[in-house]
Amino acid sequence: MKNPIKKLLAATMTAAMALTMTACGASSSASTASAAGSTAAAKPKETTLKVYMFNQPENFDKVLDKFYAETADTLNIKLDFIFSDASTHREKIPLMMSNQEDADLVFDAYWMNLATLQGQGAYASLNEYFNNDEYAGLKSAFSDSYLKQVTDEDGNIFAIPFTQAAEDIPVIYIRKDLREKYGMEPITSNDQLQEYYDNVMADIKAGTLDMTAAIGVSGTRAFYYLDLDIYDKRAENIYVIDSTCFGVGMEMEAAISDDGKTVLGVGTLGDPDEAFADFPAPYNTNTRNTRVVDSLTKWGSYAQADAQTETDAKTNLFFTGKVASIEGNISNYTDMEKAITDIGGELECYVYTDLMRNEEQIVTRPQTAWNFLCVPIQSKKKDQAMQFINWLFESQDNHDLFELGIEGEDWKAVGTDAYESLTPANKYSFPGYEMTWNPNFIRTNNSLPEEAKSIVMYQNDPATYLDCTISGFTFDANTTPELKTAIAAVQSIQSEYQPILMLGLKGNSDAAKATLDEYYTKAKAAGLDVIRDATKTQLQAFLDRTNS
Amino acid sequence: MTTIKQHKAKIKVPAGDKALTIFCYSFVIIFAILCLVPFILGLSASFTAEVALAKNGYQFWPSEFSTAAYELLFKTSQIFDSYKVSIFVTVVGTALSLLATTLLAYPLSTGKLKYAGKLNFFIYFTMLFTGGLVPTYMLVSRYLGMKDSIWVLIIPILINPWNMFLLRNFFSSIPGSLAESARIDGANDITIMFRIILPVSTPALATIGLFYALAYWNNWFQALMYIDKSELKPLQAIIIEMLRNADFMKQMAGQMGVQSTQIPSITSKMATAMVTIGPIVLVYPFVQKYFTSGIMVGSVKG
Repeated sequence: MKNPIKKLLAATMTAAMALTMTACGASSSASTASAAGSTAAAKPKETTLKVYMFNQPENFDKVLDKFYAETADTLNIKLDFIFSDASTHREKIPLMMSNQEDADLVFDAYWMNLATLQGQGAYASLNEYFNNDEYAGLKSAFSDSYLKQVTDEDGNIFAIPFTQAAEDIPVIYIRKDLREKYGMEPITSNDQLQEYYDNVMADIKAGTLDMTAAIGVSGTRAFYYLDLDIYDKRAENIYVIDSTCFGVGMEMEAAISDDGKTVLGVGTLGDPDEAFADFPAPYNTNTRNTRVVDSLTKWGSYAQADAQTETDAKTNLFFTGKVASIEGNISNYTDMEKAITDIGGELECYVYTDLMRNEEQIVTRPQTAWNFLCVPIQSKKKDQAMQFINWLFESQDNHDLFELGIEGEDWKAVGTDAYESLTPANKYSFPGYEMTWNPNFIRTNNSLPEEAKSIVMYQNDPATYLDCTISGFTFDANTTPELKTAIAAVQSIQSEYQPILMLGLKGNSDAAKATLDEYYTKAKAAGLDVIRDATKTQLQAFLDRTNS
Repeated sequence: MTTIKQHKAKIKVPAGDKALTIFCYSFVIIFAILCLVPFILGLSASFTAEVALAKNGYQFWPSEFSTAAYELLFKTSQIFDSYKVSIFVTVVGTALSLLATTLLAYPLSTGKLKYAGKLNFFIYFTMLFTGGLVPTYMLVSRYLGMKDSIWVLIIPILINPWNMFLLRNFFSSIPGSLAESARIDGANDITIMFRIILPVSTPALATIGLFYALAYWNNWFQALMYIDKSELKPLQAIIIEMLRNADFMKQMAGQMGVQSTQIPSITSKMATAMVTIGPIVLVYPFVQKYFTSGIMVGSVKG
C-alpha cells in the first residue's frame, strides 16, 4: 500500500468502520440498557428517578445503598423518593400533574385520584413493557389476567398494580385462654362464637372478669364482613361494586347473567326486596337489610356500650384486655399475638367466612389490587422507571431487598417462600403495598403458629382464586356532575349513619329497622338512584365491551 | 434633727370591693389552672406507656413511666433538622415580614401617597378573594420557581393584609406633628419612618411581630405543598404528616389491605405536641407587655 491515496482511503475506511462499530456498540448498549438492564453491557448514564409515595419507611437508606452498589454497572439508576402523608399526597399529585412537574413514578389508587387522573390522560401507557421478553421481570410477575384491572377500554395499561393475595382473610381474634377456661372446643361456627360471647358477658356481669365487652368494635370497619354474604354471592355472579368508595355493607351490589352479558339488577342497603327480584335465588331478597336489622343487632349486643364514640382503636381495647375479641385480618396475627402474650393471654383466631374457613375456592373481586404506581405522561425517564420496576421483579432477591430489607440483618430466609424477621437496631420497614407486593413474590412469616400459617398458605395459593366475570371493572364517579354530586351527598349521609347501622348498637331490631328506613329515605333523596343507574349503565357498557 | 414621721393614710376598702377582688383573683386563678390542666395531662400522657394509657386513661402522673414516645420522635435526625428550619423561618420570616409590612403600611398611613385609595383596595381585595389552590400552586412552583426552596416558606406569606391594616391604622394614630417637625429639621421620609415613627411604634410592631412569628412557627401548608426535600421541612409539617399518617392508617387500613395494628400511638402525638410548643412558648414572656398594650392601640390613645 504505497500509494498515498490508497493509504488515505484505507485510513478513511478504517475510521468509518470504527465509527460505525462504535455507533452500533452504543446503540446496542443503549437498547440493552433500555431493556432489562441486567445483561453485561456498557455502563449506562446515571439517571435519577423521582418517585412520589406516602408513609415514610424506616432505615431506607441502607437498602438504597445496597441497591446502588448492586446495580451501578447495570441500571445505574438513583432513586429520589419523596414521601409525604396520604392526605397531602392526594392533594398534591393532581396539582403536580396539572403543572406538568418532573415525576417518574407516582403512587395512585382509586381511593386517591387514579380514576380522575387516568381519565384526564395524566398517566402514560405502559403496554410496551409488559408481556415483553426484554422485560423478563415484568413478564413473569404481571400476567395478562392480573393486568386486566389496569387496562382501559382502548387497551392501554395505565398503572402497575400491587397486591399479594387477592384477599387478606378476615378473622375474629379471640382469647384462647378464656375459651379453654369455659371448657369450649376451638370455635368453628358462628353459634360457637356466640356461646363464647355469652360466657364472657356472663362473667363480666358476675364481676368475675375485668372486661367491658365481649367484642371490641370501633370506626367504620365495625363488624366488617361478619354475616355479610358477599363471597357466596360472587359464586352466583353477584358483585359488590366497591369502587364507589362506600362503606362496607352499604355499597351497590350488581347481579350479572350467567352468560356474563347482561346486568340483571343493582341493589343496595335499604332497598325493598323488589330491587333484588331479578337476582338469582336465594339472593332475590335484600339480605343486607336483614343483616343490619337482625344479625348486627345481635352481635352489637356483645360490643362495648360506647362503641359509637370510641376514640381508642379497637386493637388497643383488645391489647389492654378490655375486650375478649376483635375482628381483623390474618395479616395482623403476629402483632396481635405479641400484644396478647404481653398481657398474659393466649391468642386464637376464627375464620368467620364459611368459604374461607372450609378452604374452598373464592371468586375474586373486580379489582384485586388497591394500590398502584403510574408513570406520569410528562416523565422523560419512562424507560428507566420501568427498568427499575422490572429489576425489582426480576428475581426474588431483588424483590426481597426492597420488601424485607437486607438479608441476614433484617430478615433470614426460611426455604424459598418463608422468612424469619430479625430485629436489628436499624430495622428496615417499607410500605410494600406501594411498590413491592406481588402474588408471585410472597414470603410467609415463619414465626406464625401453625393455625395462622395454614390460613396464610391457603390465602396465598393462586389456586384459591377464581376469576371474576367483571374483572377490571371500575366505577367512574366523574362521568357527570349530577353523579359526582349524588356520590358526595350519599357518602355524607352514609358517614352519618354507618356508625349507627354497622355497629349494631340500636339494641333491638325495631329501632334498627327505623334507623335503616331513615337512612334510606335520606339517601334516596340525596341521589341513591342516580348512582344505581350509573352503576348499571357503566357495568353494562363494560360487559358489552368485553363480550364484543 | 427632726424626724419626720410619715403617716400613710389608710384607705378603707369597702367589703364589697374586697369580695369582688377575691372573686376576680379566684376566678382568674381557677381559669388559669383549668387552662393548664390539659397541658399537664398531655405532658403526663407523653411520658406514659401506651398500653397503660389505653388501660388507665389520662392521669396527672404517669401510671407507668415511659420515654418510648420521645425515643420514637428523636430517633432520627429529622426532628432536629426541622427545628432548625422552623427557627430560621420564624426568625428571618418575622424580620422580613415586619420590614415589608412597615414599608407598605407607613406610606399608606401618611395620606399623601398618590393612588393610596386604590392600593388599599387592592390589598383589601386579597383578604376577600384568592386565586385558588391550583393557580397559586402554579404561580409559586412554575413561574416563581420556588419549589423546594426554603424561601417558599416565607415569601408567599410575607405580608398579611390584616396585619398591614392594623399597622397602618396605628401609624395613622401617631400625631402628624411628629413627622412634620422632623421634616422641618430636614429629614426625608425614610429617616422619618426609621428614626421617628418606628421607635414610637414598638407596641404595634411587637404585636404584629408576635402574630407573624406564630404564623410562621405554626405554618405547615406551604411546606406540604412546595417542599419535597425532607431536610427543608419545618417542624409543623413533619408533625402534621405524622398525625395524618396515623389517621390515614386508622381509616383506610381495613379498606386497602394494610395492617392496622401499627398505628402511631397517642403518646407520640402528645410528645410531638410538647416538643412543638416548647420554643414558641418562650417568646410570649418577651413580648407580653407590648402585646397587651398593643391590643389597646387603636381604641385608647395616650
